[in-house]
Amino acid sequence: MKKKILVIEDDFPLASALKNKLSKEGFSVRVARNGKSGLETFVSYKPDLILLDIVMPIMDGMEMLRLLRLEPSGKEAKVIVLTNLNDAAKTAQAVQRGVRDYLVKSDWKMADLIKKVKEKLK
Amino acid sequence: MDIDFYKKLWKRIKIDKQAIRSEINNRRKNGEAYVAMATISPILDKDNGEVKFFVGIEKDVTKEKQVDKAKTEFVSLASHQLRTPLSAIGWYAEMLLDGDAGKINKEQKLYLEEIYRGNQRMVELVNALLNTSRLELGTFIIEPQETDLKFLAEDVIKEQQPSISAKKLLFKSSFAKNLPKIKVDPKLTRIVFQNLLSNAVKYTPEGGRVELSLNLEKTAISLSVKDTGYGIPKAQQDKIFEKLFRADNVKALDTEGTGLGLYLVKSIIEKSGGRISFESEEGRGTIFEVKIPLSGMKAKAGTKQLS
Repeated sequence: MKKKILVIEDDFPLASALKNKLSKEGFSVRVARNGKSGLETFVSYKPDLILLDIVMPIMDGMEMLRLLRLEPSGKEAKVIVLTNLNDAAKTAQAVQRGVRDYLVKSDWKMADLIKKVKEKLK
Repeated sequence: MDIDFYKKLWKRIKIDKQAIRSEINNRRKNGEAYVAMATISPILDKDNGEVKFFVGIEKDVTKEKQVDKAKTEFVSLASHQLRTPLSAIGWYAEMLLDGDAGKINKEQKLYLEEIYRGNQRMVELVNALLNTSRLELGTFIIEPQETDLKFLAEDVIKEQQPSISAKKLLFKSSFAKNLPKIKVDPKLTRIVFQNLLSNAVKYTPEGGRVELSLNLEKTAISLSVKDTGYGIPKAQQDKIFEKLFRADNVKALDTEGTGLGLYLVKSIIEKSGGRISFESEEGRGTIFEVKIPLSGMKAKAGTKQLS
């Protein structure tokens, strides 16, 4: 059974880079373009891991994370925050909402990101 | 301004009998706040040297401060916006290099590596600009915690090892025994160590020597980074900590470098209670010394961490 990853990212080039690379690495991948549709996809798709952007239209990543933790199936869901915003308040909020991995996209090589994803899914 | 500030100010003018020049947060008669650049000078009696009266000159710099802040905020915002396309360039170049879109030939590989490296440099520049704007806006955080400076230094050395080997530099490190752990912000301290060592490596020609040492003094731990590199021209030594300044000799030799490294280092050191100094001779080498008080760094609340 392929592990399932949900990428929630509004930037099209970044979302497709992640989708292509993760698929090549043998994962099953779905993309949602904002927090709201991410939440809906989560319920139907039941991913093993979520890669979550923060700044997005309609519903941002932090709000999505808050609502996700209210879902019975979302309480323990594995999440990596993948953003370009490194703000102490947001990092603290992410930790509060049970996310320890808060990565700045431009500082992360694709190869290291894949390693991180695999570690997380072990 | 707090009471302490005024106490110091009046001590300096009345007791030390020295002029003072400082920014002061003041209020107009109508209660409106403004920022003044003030110079206050004591006028002394020529017979007994006592203070007779003061002359104060102040200039309203509120507008200048606002413009400067707006500019810094703009730099911060623009840098953030740059990160998304930079991530895209980096990731796609990486995927092409990995052969994800088909096999690439030798020449294509070389070109892609140039694109990738160029992108990495831009990422670093954006990070340096963001750090600069955080320091200037005062939004950065100082979070001191018990830190083993030797461990931190070794980690930074490990990171530089590939460049040290590539340039066949003779590298030596020495650490005083029994260095105590002190309360510093590890991220900020890392930026300081990393910038000084990478500068030494970058600005020392092949086969040169670089030394890093940590010493224990009465009231401080001192870091010294010594190289046999290009050195800083005498005439430009007073500008070396200025933002975006790069000395002529290294500009001619090496196009990399942002001119922000030492500016960041000095800001961090001074805003956290330490001191930095250097000696340099062109063509011979440079030695930088940083003193971090044993009492550590003072905590500071803020909204942004430096990275």
